[in-house]
Amino acid sequence: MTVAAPSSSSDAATALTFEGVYEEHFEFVWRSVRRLGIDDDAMDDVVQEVFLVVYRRLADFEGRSSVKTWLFGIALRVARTHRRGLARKGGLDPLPPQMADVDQKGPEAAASQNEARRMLDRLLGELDEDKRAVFVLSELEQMTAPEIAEAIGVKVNTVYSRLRAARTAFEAAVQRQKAKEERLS
Amino acid sequence: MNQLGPDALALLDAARDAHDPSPADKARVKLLVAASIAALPATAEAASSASAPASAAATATGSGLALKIGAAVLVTAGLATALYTTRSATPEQDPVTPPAATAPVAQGAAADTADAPADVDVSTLAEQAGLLAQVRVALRDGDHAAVLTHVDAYDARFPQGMLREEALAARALALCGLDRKDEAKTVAETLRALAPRSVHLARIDAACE
Repeated sequence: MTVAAPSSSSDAATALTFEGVYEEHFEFVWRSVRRLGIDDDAMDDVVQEVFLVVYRRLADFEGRSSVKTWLFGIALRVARTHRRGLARKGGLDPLPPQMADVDQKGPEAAASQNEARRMLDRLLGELDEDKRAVFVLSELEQMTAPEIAEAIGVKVNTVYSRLRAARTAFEAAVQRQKAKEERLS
Repeated sequence: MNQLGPDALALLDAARDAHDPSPADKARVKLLVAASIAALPATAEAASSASAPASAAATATGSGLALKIGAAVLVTAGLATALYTTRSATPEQDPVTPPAATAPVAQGAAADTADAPADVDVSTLAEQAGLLAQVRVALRDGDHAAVLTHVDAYDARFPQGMLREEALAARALALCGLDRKDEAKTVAETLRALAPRSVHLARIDAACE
């Protein structure tokens, strides 16, 4: 399937193919889905579904946004649907974030990447979905506010306000974790 | 705008690359996607024949994928089991009934309902998946000559196809099976140039020892 981007888009010179999108952006989609809180066991299913949506929708992609922001929007919707499905089945973690299992190691002690990842996952889990998406795109994907606004379909000012709240919440969660670590040490 | 403190920044730096997938993840999901796409035409027909509105058609299509998985899909998805060491599959597992090839589609289809397309485009990927399904069957049966025939057909039809990595791997494995190890090594080198981190390389090396 080859979809020629419209001449007005920034991708005008590029013919988008499903294969090309997959090869170039799989890593972005995978880590985005993971950072949106999808468990390891469901990763294949959710990422597969994201690309099936891409497959069905690629012909409608108009190039008004970048491919990455378009993909993130799809990933966000698919992940949301998956989480709602889990919640309906009672499979979502019922514990409020503050009561979730606490790793004994804080940020400074999280020497390995895996440990850091587990901690980051837990702290991201303390953010609500809206804040989490903005935070991930800004702090981990280094997207600009206008790009984030395109990706999640909100105004730029909303991105700024959510990012401000997300940073405050994330920083507070880190400090809580650090305080617990200090009490345990 | 308020900024993050040093502890938070250190954590983000330490975990920034921790969510990246492995080459095996990329290859495994690629085949699962191909398998699901291979099922789209039939289900699209089913949805359209029911004269469903677009959004309902998309939902029906997704549900149909979960419920109406045809043989081609199963054997295509089975290629993932045949060629990859998946997280859940074992060498003893029946390759015709692979895990997780069907489950996600119906679940995720609802996410696409709000802006569902009126029709389903049939890309070459479905055809590619179908050809690779034949390769997979031949591999499963140990019919190495047939593997080469099917891979030839794939290469002729899709010289730059999305599943070329898998086609090369299958060719190399078949050549090993036919004791044509020099040719197999040449193919393996082509694969290595195409996908230096391919999960198939180690298996080919082992098969050609």
